[in-house]
Amino acid sequence: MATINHPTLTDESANAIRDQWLERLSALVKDVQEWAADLGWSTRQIETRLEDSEIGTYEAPALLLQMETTRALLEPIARSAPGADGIVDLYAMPAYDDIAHIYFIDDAWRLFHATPLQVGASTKVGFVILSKGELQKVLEGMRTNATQAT
Amino acid sequence: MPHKQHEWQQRVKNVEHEFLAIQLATEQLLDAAARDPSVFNNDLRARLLRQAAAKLDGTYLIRLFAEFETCLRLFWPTARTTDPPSRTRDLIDGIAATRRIPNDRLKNVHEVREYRNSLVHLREQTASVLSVSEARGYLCRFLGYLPPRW
Repeated sequence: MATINHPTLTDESANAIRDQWLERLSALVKDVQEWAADLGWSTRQIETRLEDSEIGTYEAPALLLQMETTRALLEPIARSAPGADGIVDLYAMPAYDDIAHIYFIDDAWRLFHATPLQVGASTKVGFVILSKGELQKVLEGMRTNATQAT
Repeated sequence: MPHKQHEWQQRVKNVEHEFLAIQLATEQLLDAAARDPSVFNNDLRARLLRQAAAKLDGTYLIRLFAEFETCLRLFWPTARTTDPPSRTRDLIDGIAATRRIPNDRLKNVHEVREYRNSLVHLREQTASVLSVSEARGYLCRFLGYLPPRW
């Protein structure tokens, strides 16, 4: 359903917030792209559209990952949520099944295995700092599940 | 309207995100009302909320399917150079034939269509009941057979 989304901040502050978020996001995409390439996955950066009630609609980077017939998508969801300064999801494609949620909390990207909408101080226990090793575990788990499903 | 496979898959996924957000909010509010009935100021909204919560899956499944059907109707003229058929079953079958979509994927989408029809037309329940996430997976997998852009 089409919606008109007017930013609630001034242009200047909206741009500053958006630039900071896109910079944070680009760094994450770059890291994941390098780690995935090291793990033997092919990657392709794409642009995705985000709607934000405060800063308006804008394009942001996302990352497609593929190894043989297993495909994944790293996709930004929102630049803020209660307890987090950025949310990015990892999906199994093409079904768009949730694999993991990645939250920016306390100046670090933290990975949480998929159970949506539970971010907040009381649920930080389940998070691990995102690293090449953690990404490898998630991607290998995805490949195993995909093999078992076929 | 977008002419890209991924944007349509994303629109379907976004409906599931909205569903999860509303489901969480509804559950929280009903829990709060169970602990303290005065949150509704003793009016009838508590009863209405329970009714709405009971139908939430169906409501969002109808929306999921609406996004999917809109995509297929937009894609049809590119694939078949004619106007799309009025019957949704024919629309789905025609695109499945054109794109050589495997039968199990086609069957899954018809399951969603039949369940959606049972909800919209208040037919006696003969279709299999599907969760929003199951339906989203079936629809997104089918959309994965469309070209990346058209």
